[in-house]
Amino acid sequence: MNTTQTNSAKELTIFQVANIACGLDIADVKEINKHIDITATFGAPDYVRGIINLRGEIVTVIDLRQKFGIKPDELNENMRVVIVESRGENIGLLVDRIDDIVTADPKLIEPPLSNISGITSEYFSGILKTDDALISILDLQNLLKV
Amino acid sequence: MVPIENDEILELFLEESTDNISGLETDFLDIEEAGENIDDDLVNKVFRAIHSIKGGAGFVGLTNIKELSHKMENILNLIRNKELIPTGDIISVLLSGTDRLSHLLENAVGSNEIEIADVLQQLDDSLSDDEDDQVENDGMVHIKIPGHDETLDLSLQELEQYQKGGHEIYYATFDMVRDIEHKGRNFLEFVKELEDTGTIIGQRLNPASIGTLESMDDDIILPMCVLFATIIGPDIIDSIMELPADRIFRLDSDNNLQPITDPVTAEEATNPPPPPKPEPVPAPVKEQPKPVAAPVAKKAKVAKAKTTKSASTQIGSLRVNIKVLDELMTLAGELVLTRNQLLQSIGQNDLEQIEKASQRVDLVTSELQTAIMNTRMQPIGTVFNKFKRIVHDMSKDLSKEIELEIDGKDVEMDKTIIESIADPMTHLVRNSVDHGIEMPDIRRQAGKTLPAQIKLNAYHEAGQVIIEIKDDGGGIDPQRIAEKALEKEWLTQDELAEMPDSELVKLILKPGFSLAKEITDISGRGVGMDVVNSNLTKLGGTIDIESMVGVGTTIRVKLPLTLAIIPSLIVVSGKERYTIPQVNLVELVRIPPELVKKRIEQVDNASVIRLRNELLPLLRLSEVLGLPKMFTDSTGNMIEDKREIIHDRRSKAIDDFIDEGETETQDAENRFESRDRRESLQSAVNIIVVNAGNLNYGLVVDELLDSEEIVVKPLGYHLREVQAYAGATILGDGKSVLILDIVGISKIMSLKSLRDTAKDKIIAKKVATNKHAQSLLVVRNAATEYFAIPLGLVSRIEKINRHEIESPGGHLSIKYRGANLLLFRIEDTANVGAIDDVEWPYVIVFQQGGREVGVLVSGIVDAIDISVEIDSQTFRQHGILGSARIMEQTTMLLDLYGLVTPEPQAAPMVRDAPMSSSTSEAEISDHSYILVVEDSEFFRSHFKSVLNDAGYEILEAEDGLEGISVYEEHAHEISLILTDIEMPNMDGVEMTKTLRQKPGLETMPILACTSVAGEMAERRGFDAGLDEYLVKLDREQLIEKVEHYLEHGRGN
Repeated sequence: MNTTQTNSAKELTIFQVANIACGLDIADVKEINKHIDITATFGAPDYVRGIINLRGEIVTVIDLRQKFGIKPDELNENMRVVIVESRGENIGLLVDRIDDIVTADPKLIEPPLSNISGITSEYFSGILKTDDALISILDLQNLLKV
Repeated sequence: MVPIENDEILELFLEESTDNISGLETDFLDIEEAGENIDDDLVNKVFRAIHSIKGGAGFVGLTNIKELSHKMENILNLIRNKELIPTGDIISVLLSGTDRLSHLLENAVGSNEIEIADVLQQLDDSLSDDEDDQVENDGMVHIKIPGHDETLDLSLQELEQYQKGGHEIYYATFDMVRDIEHKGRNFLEFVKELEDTGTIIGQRLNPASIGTLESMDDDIILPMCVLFATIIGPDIIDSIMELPADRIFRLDSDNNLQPITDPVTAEEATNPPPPPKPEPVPAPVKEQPKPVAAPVAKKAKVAKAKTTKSASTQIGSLRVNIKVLDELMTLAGELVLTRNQLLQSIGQNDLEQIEKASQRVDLVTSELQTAIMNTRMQPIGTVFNKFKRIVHDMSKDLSKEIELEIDGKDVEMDKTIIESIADPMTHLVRNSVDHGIEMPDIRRQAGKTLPAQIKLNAYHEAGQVIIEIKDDGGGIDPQRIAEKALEKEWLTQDELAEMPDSELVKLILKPGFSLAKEITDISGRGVGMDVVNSNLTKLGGTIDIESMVGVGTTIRVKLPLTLAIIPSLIVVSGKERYTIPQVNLVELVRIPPELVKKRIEQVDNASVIRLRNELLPLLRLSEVLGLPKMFTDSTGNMIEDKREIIHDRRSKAIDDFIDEGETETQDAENRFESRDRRESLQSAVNIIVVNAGNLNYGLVVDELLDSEEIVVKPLGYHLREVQAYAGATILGDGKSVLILDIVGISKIMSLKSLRDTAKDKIIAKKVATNKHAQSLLVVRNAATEYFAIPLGLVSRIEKINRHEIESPGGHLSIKYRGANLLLFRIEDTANVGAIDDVEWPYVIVFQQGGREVGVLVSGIVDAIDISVEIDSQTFRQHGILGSARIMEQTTMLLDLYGLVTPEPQAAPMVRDAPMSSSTSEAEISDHSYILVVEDSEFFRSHFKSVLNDAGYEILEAEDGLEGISVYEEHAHEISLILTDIEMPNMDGVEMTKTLRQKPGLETMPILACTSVAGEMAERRGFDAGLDEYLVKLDREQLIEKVEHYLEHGRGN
């Protein structure tokens, strides 16, 4: 679950949430869903975008933009729902687009800054510096805390 | 070590024994409760259960089980013979025996290695304590088996019993293969045959003498030894048993076995077929449990099971009523038939037949579904029963005195739920015993009764099952919880200080919380309530705690009946669909656009609708969920709805307009336009009346769709706290849809208080005066003069700046929406005090003759539901209908229409009154009356005033029955009947029906004047013979129609 340092190289799924490049250990990603028909859940916390039908299972979709305190966007073609598992449930993370998969040397992962683009650091477990970008690695456990 | 692993017979034995043992705890506790007044049936039942276990265990070679059950049987026998009084101690020993017994049964294969000496000792001790004169040698007779070292043990008691009865006791050895199977006999039949002639009192298989697999088929020997008590003499016993005489022995008076044949030859024949083959035992043995007292049906079942592979006790199995199975079978058959029908008609392309068949499929499928669901329903008693034992044991351990009361055992729930609630419930009960109930001396000091009470109750409420655990113990001290929470740094002092006690108490559901000062083995490790909570939540349940220090604690667990499929209604609000479980639905009400204003009222800032004389609070689903208010306009587009209140279609725009003055005319006009558009869509209001446990309310939605059977699916943990949703489901189109939690919604909106107060008020008033309740708006004009206006007449109320009032041409008016609104002052028409000089007076706006007019008042006092006695004499004048005591004030009832029309005598009527009309003169004779049938005194005076003013005379009646009798008295003087619909005793429709059957009445115009209308109701009315439906307070329409019918008669 936690994407902190291990010694072997790890693969990260990179996706974009507003202007933030986020990384998630590929082992944590169960699938990436393209066809998203989200049923809005009014009355729920803001960061819950809604629910989807994932092959007969009801999955909560968390809007990472909202979670990061960024204005939510209308659904569009590029958006994806990244399915992860937490507390025995599948949870969807709504991201703006999927970028890449990179292999990262754990040694290059640094502890997160105190805040990333104004977002509390507790959502991140580390920062990966690549040649052209800073990738903020998500701390799923903290991110999905109720 | 495993003599009989995997054996079907062992499994059968275990299954049956598990059955036998399952009810024992409760039975023992009941026996204890009965004390000296021994319930023979009960003791016998327990005795038989234990006896069966003993017998079976003997068969399958489970010696420990046999031995233990034997000891228990001995004690029970004493109880049965009234030689032993079942005291608490004895029952406790029996209970621990039962525990050990079920432990042994659970681990049957290794049970012979399990230590049971301690329990046996306990059992023995309990006997020696109470019964010193017990039979020597544990009351056992050890019968030596001829040719073997082993003995067959038998209780002396039993033995004597048979011997006294003149029975002979034989020992016989059968070979299951040769003597039974090869002779074409079924073992069970064989046992049954034997039991027809006597009783099998002991039996055993001799594993040591079993043939091996290597032996030839014929050599396989499965010897079974039987001790058999019968009255049949030794001379013919061999033929009865169909056994060679040399294999039968008789028990002599010294309890030694003697051959029944010649003693000499017998000596040689003593080695019966079980040839002692000293090889190890590799193969499982085939033999049989179940000796005595098994009902025939059961045997048949066992026999059948033998041919198939019987279910293991490990895999979940379910006992299903044979009736339900039969029903399933029938339905399955029907389904097959229907399928054939369907296939055939598809082959023939016969559309009509296909349709018929598919309807049939639909029907059968739903019946099948119900039947299958029924197989899953189990009474909650299976869980409840075990609490008796838990409470019994725990209170003994803790030296507390506790009585457990159980209610609602028969409430049925889905098997999966029943199974899953056992653990959480156990925890809750344990908590009550351990933490809840105080020690006896503390209770005594506090003046509380002993024994303490714990009540378990289960009942249905709004499609859910509520389980209550209620104790009258010490309660939960919120202070201690606060301290604990502080200690754990969950909350700050300030936060805690703000929390109400009821919330504090709920902190015990948090992980890691424990109040127990000492950790006992019962509870106090801090892994309790949070686990209970999460387990119940998983099941879709909720938990509620009510506690008062010193009084007790009630824990209420709410669970769904089933996790499977529920019928539900699909509705639309905003852009989303939602489902409402059918169990919560009461009725659907649709208010047509033109009646919205009349039917939906405001009470204390909440919308209500009056439905059959009951005030129903209304909630807009979109408001509850906080979704943007939308509505569909005529072109099908969704437009944001600015209505603040359901019934008020404009007030917002007008308020804005008035507040902002005329400077923003442009903007105001835009709004005006949007209002117009909204009006043009003529949207009706869809109300779903739902039941949330103890209250009903109306939920306003945008659209109603179909009803559908939905599969309830749980929501993820981020959404569990959202009270409005009970779960989600997936509809036919694959889209996920939320299920509304009707109870949760009422909680969000804290509905309860409104309804209770409003309804209580009404009920109280009803009881007091037994009069028609009235919604009245009480206003003030002169500072001390109060006026009441029927709320139903009021379109809306506006607050205006008095400086904006204009008076061109002597008429007061105010500009808004680019038009003039005519204003009237009460004092201009009626002889009352002048309006108080306030900066912001109010305008009561209402419809008159197709346009809006307003009456100025200085202040709004209240809107009340009240039933009043109207004095139509004292203050009666033009513009004032009468007076009543309202809220300890003499309040005048305003006649709004009177206020805005000049007094008839003073000026000619706007419309020609029939009296002065030449055409109608003929019809209106001196004795021509209009009969007004109306239960509400208020409306009677209203009609009276309106009709009198128009020049008619009226007769009055308070309900349908009175209406008929008044008619009969004045049959020829009445030319038109005006009736209310909703009335006590006989309603307007019934009255019309009755009247229409009278001679000469087929031409009588009968008009209904009502506030309750709907297409259905109207059709019913027209069918009954009503000519017209009039809206109750539309004065113009009333006069017009009355005039029309008097002039033209019916049907013109």
